[in-house]
Amino acid sequence: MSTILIVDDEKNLLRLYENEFRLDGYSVITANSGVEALNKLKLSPVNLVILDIRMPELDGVETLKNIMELPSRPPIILNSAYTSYKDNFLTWAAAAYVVKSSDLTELKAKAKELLETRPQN
Amino acid sequence: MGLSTGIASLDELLEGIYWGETLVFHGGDWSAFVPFVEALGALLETGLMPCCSFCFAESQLTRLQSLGPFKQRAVLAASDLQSAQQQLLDLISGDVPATYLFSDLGNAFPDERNVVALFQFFARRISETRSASYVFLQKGSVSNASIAQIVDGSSLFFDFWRVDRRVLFQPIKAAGRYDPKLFMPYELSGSGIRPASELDGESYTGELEEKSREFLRLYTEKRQVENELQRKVFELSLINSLTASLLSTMNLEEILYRILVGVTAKEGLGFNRAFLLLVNEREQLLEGKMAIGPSSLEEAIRIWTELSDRHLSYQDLLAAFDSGWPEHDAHVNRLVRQIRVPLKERSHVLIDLLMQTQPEVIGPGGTRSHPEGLKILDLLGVERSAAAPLVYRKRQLGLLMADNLISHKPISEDDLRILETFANYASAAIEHSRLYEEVRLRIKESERHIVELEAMQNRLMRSKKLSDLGELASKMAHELRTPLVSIGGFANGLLKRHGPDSPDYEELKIVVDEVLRLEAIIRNVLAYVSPGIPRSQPTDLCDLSDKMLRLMQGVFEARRIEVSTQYSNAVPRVLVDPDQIRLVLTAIINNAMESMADGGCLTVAIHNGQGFVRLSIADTGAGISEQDLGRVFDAFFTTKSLGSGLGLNIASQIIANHKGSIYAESQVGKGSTFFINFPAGTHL
Repeated sequence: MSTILIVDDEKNLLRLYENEFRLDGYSVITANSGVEALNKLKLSPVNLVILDIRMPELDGVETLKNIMELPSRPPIILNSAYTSYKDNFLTWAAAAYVVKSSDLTELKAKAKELLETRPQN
Repeated sequence: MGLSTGIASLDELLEGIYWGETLVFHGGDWSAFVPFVEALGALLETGLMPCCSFCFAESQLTRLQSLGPFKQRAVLAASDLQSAQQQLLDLISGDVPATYLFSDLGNAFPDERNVVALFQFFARRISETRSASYVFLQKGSVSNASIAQIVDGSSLFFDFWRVDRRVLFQPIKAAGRYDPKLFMPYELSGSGIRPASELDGESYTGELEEKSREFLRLYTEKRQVENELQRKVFELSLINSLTASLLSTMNLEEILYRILVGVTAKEGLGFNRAFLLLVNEREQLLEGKMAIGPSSLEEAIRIWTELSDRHLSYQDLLAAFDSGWPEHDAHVNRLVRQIRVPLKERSHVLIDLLMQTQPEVIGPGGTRSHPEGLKILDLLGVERSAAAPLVYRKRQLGLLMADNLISHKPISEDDLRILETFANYASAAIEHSRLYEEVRLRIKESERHIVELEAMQNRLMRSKKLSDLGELASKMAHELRTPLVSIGGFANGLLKRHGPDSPDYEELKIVVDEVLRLEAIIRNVLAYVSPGIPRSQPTDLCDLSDKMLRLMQGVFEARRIEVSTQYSNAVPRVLVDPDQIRLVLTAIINNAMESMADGGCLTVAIHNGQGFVRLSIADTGAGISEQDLGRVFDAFFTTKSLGSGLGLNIASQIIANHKGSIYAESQVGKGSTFFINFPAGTHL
């Protein structure tokens, strides 16, 4: 079973995503901030990270950079309300960029695609 | 040795001094008295005079040898009037007729009033004793007013003067009985006294001739100086009035007119005609500008008669500028406008004259009579013309020409000189008017700049406001997204879990759909507010346009809009972001469709320009009023009930990001055309 780490400073969103992905049969870990996400990544293996960009302290882009330096380097879906970060080349390292929407179809599709193409550790 | 003649003439002159009379001699200089006193001394020596004579003097008189017969007594050394009178009384008492000779009383008594009092007293005593007396007064020591007071009815006053070495005298005042010849000037000399006019014939005539020649010479000189002065005064007052008239306006045309009137008016320089030629610096030409004057004798007579009939003065003529001039002088104006000489034609007589500093006469007898000059004279139809350069601070402004076509009066040196003076003032006036005009234009330009600056500042402020507003909208849109995700996401979850049979299904579905709608709105707003940096790539605009129009085919048909395209051959590809340009075209086409509510024609044209490719979209819709046309690209500007008012604004932002330009032309009722210029070339 694939494990997804969801990082967002919005507690409601974390809860929504956790519900939805659990129902879809994934194992879900959540983190309220970039720092918490990095800590959790060190504790347990994760197959996919869904990462918000606008967060206090360590933002998504910084967190992304840190994750890329981890030996596990799980694929990352950037999930933001903003489209403008697409222009920031630092975000290009992410496997996908999905703009936040109440319709989770695109996000789920991307997640599924990435988990299927990527070999499990 | 001539004593008798001297005595005789003196006797004759005075017609014998009557006893009881006083003679007062009024002399300019002591030396003038000497010959007279000498003659008097000689007279007394003859014994014809009363035996007893006294001389009361202490000046030079007492030292005269000829005063031998006089009993000399110095009485006038008395310091005060009273003692002087006492001494005189002592002298005059007794019955002996005597002659008294007094030296300058005025000298002895500094106070004029004392002299007068002494005289009065003395004259009374003399007339009582019936003796005779001679009194000398130095001219100036006693005023004429005082002399007038001394009149005692029998005194004789003389004026003495010297010319060269001759002493002349003339009675200036005498009581009653003397012969008129007494009042002639007489000459006193060692040989006696004689009328000055009878003075030694030959040498006198010679002297007189010389004198009169000299007088004539002086007189001629004086007349010349007077004439010169008079002319200067005339010129000055003329120039003054002309200059005043020149300075009374800053309008160049009017100044030119005033100059011409000044040259031709009777009260002015009095030429028949005048022409003004000015340097056109831009075209490097000397060109005829304005002229005044009759074209023929008939016209001249008519004009001059009219002027004198209506008593038109110089001022009236000046005022005529406003009333219907210059139709009056159409002929000469036509002539002068034919003159256009390039400045580089140095050999041309007019250019040559322009470079001079002094006026000259062209034509036969003038300084310039070569064929070039005559050609100009032919044009002006005159034999001779004066031409004065208009120079201001070494800058050639033009030529002032004047002639006497009608009167044929020759142009004199004086005419030239006053023309030159006038030309100097005219130059200053022309230059001042030009400077004034230049300053006026500069000020106008500055004012225009200020208005432009203000407008630009307004635009800037508005665009700043809009950009602030856009930023706010963007922020709000983004912030709204996250809670919408929660709302819609949870509703979606609930919807799925409860299934279509749930009593809440319908309501949950509404929540989900409404959230989706809100998200769509946010996407649109964000697309408008921040189109982002163009991801440019070489793009075939015709291809892009064709594909778009094909996609929209259905919409056009539904709205009964006919679409046509006009593309140049081989339109080069341009470097643009196709997605963004599609957005731009959509906005413009949407706008066009809105304006063609009842259908119409839409024409998309793409043409090659110089350094740019121009795309235009024309509709046959309602058009945009001139007032609205300037605002169609403003954000939130809309005349439609539907629409965000952002479409064209975002389009203009995108085009600006592409370094292109967008603008619109429109005619109300006929339709609008939007033009977009894309920079040519596929390299950044």
